[in-house]
This record gives sequence, C-alpha cells and structure tokens, in this order.
Amino acid sequence: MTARSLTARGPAAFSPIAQRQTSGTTRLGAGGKGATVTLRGLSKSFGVKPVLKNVDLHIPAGQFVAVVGKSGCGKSTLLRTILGLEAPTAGDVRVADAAPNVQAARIMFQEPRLLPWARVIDNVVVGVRNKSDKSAARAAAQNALDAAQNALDEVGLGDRGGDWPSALSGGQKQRVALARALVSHPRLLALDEPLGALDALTRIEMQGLVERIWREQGFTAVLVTHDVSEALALADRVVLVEDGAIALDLAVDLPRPRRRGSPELARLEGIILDQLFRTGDRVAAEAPADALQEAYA
Amino acid sequence: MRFDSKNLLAFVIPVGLILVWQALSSLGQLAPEVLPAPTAVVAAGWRLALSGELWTNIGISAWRAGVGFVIGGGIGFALGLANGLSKLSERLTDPTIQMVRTIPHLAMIPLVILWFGIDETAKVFLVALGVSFPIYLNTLHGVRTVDAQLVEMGRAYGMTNRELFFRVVLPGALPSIFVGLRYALGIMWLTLIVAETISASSGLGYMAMNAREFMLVDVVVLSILIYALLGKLADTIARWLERATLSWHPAYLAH
Repeated sequence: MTARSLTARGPAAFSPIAQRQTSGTTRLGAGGKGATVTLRGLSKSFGVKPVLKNVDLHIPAGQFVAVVGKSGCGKSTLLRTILGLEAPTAGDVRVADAAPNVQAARIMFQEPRLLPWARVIDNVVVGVRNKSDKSAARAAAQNALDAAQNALDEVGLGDRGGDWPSALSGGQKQRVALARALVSHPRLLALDEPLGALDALTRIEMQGLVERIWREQGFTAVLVTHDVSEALALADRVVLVEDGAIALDLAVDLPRPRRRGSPELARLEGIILDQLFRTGDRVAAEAPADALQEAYA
Repeated sequence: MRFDSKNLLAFVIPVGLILVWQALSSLGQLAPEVLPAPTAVVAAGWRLALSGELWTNIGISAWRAGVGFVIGGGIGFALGLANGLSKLSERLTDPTIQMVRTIPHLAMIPLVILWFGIDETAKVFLVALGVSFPIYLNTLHGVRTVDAQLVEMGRAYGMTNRELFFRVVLPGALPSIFVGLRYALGIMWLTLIVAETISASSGLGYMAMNAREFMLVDVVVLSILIYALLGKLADTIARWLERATLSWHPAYLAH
C-alpha cells in the first residue's frame, strides 16, 4: 500500500522505501528484532475535526522513520495512534512482531516524565515488563534491577542510579527516559519529539546516542519531530505529514554515521522544506529562509 | 537533627519569655493568683506527676485524640481517594460533604451531649468529625492534581490500575495529604480541649477546669503548657513523617 500512496504523489525520484532493506552491514543482528507497522486507511477525528485522513503507511521491521510536519499537522496523533494511546476513528493499525507474544512498543515523550518520587534506577525499572508469578517475585525484582542498571550504563548514566530525578539535568533526565524505554528491549520505539526541549549541543549528543542504540538493537523506530535536519540525521526514511495526510515519503539512503552539513543532506532538506512551505499559500515564496531557521531552531 | 547555632535561634524567644516571666514573678510584679511563677508551675507538675494524676489525664486525652484522629482521618482519607478517583463517587458524596463541612463542628457539642452524654463516644465523635474534613479536602485535591502526563506514561508503560495507584497517584498526592494531616492535628487538639473543658470527668481539659474551681492557677497554667507541648509533639511527628516520605521532593532535598 506504500506503493499506492507513493504513486498518488508521483515523483519518481522517491524510491519505494517500503521494500528497501535497511543497510544490513552496519546492523548487528538486526534481523527479526523490529516490529512491522502497517496502517491501512487510518483516520482519526477529535469531535468533528479530522486530524488524520485515510493514512496508509507501511514500516518494515527495523526501519528508522522520521515523521515531520508543522505543528498541528497530525504527526503526534499518528504516533499515538500507532501505539494505541488513541483509538482510530476508521481504518486499522497493525503492529506485527517478528517474535509474537513479546508485543513491546515503547514511547519516549517530549518531556522525560520520570516519577519524581522514585530513584533514577527505579524509574528505569518502570519500563521492565514483569509478568512473573509470586514465587519468583524476588528473583524477578533482582533481574529487573540488573536490566535497569544495564540500560543506565547504555545511556551513560550507570553511576546515577541512586539519585533523585530532580538532581539531573534536562538532557540526563531524557537519557533516563530513553533507558526506561529501552530496558524491555522493545520491538518498536516511538519518539514523540523527545529532543525538542534540549539545548542544541545536548540534542546532537542525544541523536548520536539514539542512533547508536538503534543500530545495536535493531528495533523499529518512529521519530516525530519538527526539526528537519534531525530527521535527516537519523532516519532511513522521512515521512512528511501535511494536513492529516502523507504529503511526501522520502528515502534517505546515506551511509551512517552521517556528517552534518553534507551536500546530499542539504539537498534532501531542500526538497522537504520546499514541500513544507510551497503548498497551501502563495506568500510562501519568501518563506524558506525563515523556514530553515525554524527548522533548525 | 543537627544542633547548630541556627537551631538554637528558635529557643531564644521562648526561653527569654520564661526568664522575664520568672523575673517579674520573683520581683512581685505578677500576683500568683493571676499568673504563678514558672517555678510554681513546675512544682505543680511535679506534684501531679508524683500522684499519677497527670499521667492518667494525659493518657486519657491522648487516647481520645488518637482514636478520633484515626477514625475521622481514615474516613476523610478514604472519601478523598474515592472522590478523587471516581467521578461517580464524587457526584454522589461531594456536595453533601461540602455542605456538612460548613457547619462549625463545635456547634454540635450540645447535640452530641444529648446523643452520647459526656462519655468517651462524645469526644471521639467530635474529634473524628473535626479531623475528617481537612484530610478529605487535601486528599481530594492531591489526587486531582496528580500530573496527568505521569498517569499517561504509566498507562503507556503497561501499569495496572493497582500499580498506577501505588506508584503514581498516591506518591503524587502525598505532599497535599500531609498539608491536610498537619492541619487536622491542630483541629484534633482544639476539638478535644474544648470538648473536655465543657463536659468531661477526666482528661487534660477536665484537669484544668477542675483546678479552676479550686483556684489552683498553677495547675491551669500547667495544663495550657501541656497542650502546647502535645501540639508541638504531634506537629514534629508529622514533620518527621513528611521528611521521611517526601525526601524526593526538591523542598526537602536540602536536609
């Protein structure tokens, strides 16, 4: 169905990414670790206001997809619907897992949303799925702590487990939130503008961290962002949502790790920004300069 | 708790007042039938402590306060949680509670005496009534104002309702619940003392009223000081609990 949505939009320049395999050379044992996400005719309205209109999207296992768009375009709603935090008004969402019964999708929010009354390590334990029976409770609790410690080590905060969240900086809190999302080894990680509130340098550092962990663990990632350069730095594929529909579906077939400011990234960014600001209003002729700034902001 | 010069600062005024009071009494400026000297009050305390009368009365008062507090606090807490978590429960009970709350509970004393006489039930009832409202209001407020984003996070991370309650809602409501608790402790002593002063045959309030009949001003002053000490003790315990359970809170991190 991606083929259908692509043909609807026409431009031959965009390869049918759905079929494209993510570059396996850099992925360590990525095979079968991610979930496949399929949206068919997905619509969502709040009251009479339609937010998503008949969206078709197929995300193959292990792909890193960035969803960009102006605020209010429906990109966050799309993500929340994929995760089941919102029920679709029409159409369906299928998250198919390579390994059944381990249905594990995790979300990172714009805010860290750590429990202020739980130590850092206990906040990470929140992400552990424990479906253990009573007799094994003690061992399970120890396993959960070990897993949480590993996840904290992974995000470089292994020594902060005993601190209260209020003692951490904004970037560190978001790293704890990342550890909490990753501790259960999810098949699908949804990122709802998780880096939006961080300062520019911390953000670049976090992008590198997210990319590294994604490459190691091979989960499917869906990143919602308003930052086009961030989308291009991280994603295999950029989906542009406009007015509740997919306006552009662009493959980013560049080697990783990507160099910021490379001509190829700039070209792709130009395509996306053109699409973002051309449609709709005529005044947009002079918009790209502002747009670029906004996108970098 | 550390005892540095900052902590000692709090004692300057009370100690100073007692010294002035003692000085005025010793110099004959204060008539003993108006305000006996601190030494006389201590002597009265010693006398009553030796006879055991003091301990009996403190014990009975503390028992009434405690039982009333547990009953009233428990009811207020339960209703606050129920109404904070369930819209149905709130619609059913909140308007009535808000209406009853506006009646000063001490205005019930004549009725309570008619219902229960002057035995224990009357005092426990009054204390429970007085204590339940501040705990109810603050528990309700605490549960209502729990960060909705954290609740959403909990749900997205697969917490059951039970986990959500114990790991997100209750800890989130705790600071507000403590405000209610400390407020309720003040009301607890106030209610008890008024009830015991008006109608009782034992307890601190009774001891004070009885002493007044015999013009034992030192015992009256002693009773008042004991109220102050008990009130302070209750508040200190609440503070300590607060500090122990809210150690995550930025306001308590310094300690």
